[in-house]
Amino acid sequence: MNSLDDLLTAAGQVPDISRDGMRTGRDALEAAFNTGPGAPAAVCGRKPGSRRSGVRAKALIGAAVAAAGAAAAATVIAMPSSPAGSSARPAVIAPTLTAAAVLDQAAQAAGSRAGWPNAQYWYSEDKYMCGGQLYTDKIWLWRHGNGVLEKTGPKNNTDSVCSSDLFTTPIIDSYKFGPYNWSQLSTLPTDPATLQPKLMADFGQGGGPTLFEDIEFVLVDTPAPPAVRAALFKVDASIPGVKVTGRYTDPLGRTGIALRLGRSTIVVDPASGTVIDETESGSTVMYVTQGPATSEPKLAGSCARTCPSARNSGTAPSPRPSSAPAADASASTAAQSADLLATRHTRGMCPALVICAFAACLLRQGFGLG
Amino acid sequence: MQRRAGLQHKKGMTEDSPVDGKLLADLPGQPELMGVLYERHAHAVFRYLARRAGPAAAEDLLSEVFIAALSASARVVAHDSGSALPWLYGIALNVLRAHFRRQPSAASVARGLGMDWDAVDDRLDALAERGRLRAALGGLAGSDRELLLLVAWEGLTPAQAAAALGISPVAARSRLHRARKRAMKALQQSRADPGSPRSPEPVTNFRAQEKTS
Repeated sequence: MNSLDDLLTAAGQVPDISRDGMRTGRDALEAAFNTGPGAPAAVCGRKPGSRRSGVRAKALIGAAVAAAGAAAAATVIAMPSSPAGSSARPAVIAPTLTAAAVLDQAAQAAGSRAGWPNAQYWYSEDKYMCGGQLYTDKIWLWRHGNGVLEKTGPKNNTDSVCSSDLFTTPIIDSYKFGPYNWSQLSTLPTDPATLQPKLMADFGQGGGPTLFEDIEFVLVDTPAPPAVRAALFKVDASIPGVKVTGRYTDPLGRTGIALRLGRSTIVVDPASGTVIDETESGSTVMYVTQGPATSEPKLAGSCARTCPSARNSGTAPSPRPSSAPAADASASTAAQSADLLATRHTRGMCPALVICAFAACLLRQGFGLG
Repeated sequence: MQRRAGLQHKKGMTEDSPVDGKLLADLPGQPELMGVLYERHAHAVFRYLARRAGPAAAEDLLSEVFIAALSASARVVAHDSGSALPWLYGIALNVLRAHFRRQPSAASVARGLGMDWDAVDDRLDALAERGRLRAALGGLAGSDRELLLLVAWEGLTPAQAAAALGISPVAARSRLHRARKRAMKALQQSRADPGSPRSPEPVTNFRAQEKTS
């Protein structure tokens, strides 16, 4: 029997490109560079100039030949993104400050927070750079599954993939928190010695840097209760090799201590017991808000809400929190099943909202979720 | 779990990748640097194409990717990791979609799906597992499957795969978990009933559809 990873590995084995194929591709690129419609025109704000001269063509080859040397000579290191011009800068701090001390202090603070045993929703907001501009994800996740994702940011981005999904969309998902659902998070061990092996077993990974990343995931992306958070910080403190890299003020003006292991750097605010920033492989995310919420936002233009007859045609929804406003209930009902939505719209009950159905509801999540 | 994937396919993500950051920054003013990118990444982009469309089609499509990149080079934005590959894979995905749209719909290649499953199955023949990966991945949303494969096949980090697909790194991580869980569940189901591997309906890629809807 072969596992998913075995199948992926086998199916990923392809031959390398042939020498001829490599040359053919190079020639085609060369031709396009010199004459083709793909030759870049001068762009606003960029240096104008001929892209079609023979000199350029030679330069293309020359640059390619020089590539190996350039790669060896250059010592440019990719820096973590520094949004908004950035006041972000690591600074030297007292060498006596150890990672374990920072994490222990964070554990104390995290553990002393009031809990959210009856929260119906978990709200998180984070900001990150895409295509050189700042975007914000707001996520509401319902205790019993599903939720809403709202992405906001500049519409005009030179990298169109960054701005192509700026809308509010249902999250149809019962595995939102890695290997855990909400209630499993609530019952995780609060003793670090018990929690550590459980995390490693549940994530199916080793200790060290991967454990550091998995813990960070649970801390920033899940509604794990305060006592579990305290234990998570304590497990972190027990991982060998975690280094304090400095005090860090992020572009939002928040200050914390940067801790690094492997490719992952987290910025911890020991006073609040939260992870405020994360940098992994050079990509930085700022965690702005995490906490319990009583409801999720209305889905603008939700098909379910604007087609009452369709809304009532589906299967019975899962139990709803009675405190949730009615509008929210319909929104979340809409999110419950892609199949249900597909059924509604293939019945033609909402012909005017086909665009909504396709763009916002179905295609974001795919048809095959049933 | 997902971070472990891509064990032996990491050839594209070599230690010189950070140098791309400087290269990409200079590219708008010096498009001839595309030649450097070609020499450095043609192999990885070829493998990306070959995994999804088969080696023969990949040879034809390779230059399309770099020519498209040349057109887009004036507005390239490097991924924070400094590697050009997330950017190139994003372009390659668009080239693949256009390629599959050109295929006759009768072909077993599901249009818009961005995957030639016959080519995939040919590589699974040795394991006598023809159809199994399709059963496992066919039920995923197009974007989730692509995310999973960018990590498993191309060896990208979740953050880099997120950049290639234009989603947030945080969303990418939870989607990866979700995609793997679903795929493993579907795999178990197809194992329990080997006579009828789930033959998925063409799952339309949402991003391709957004543009047309």
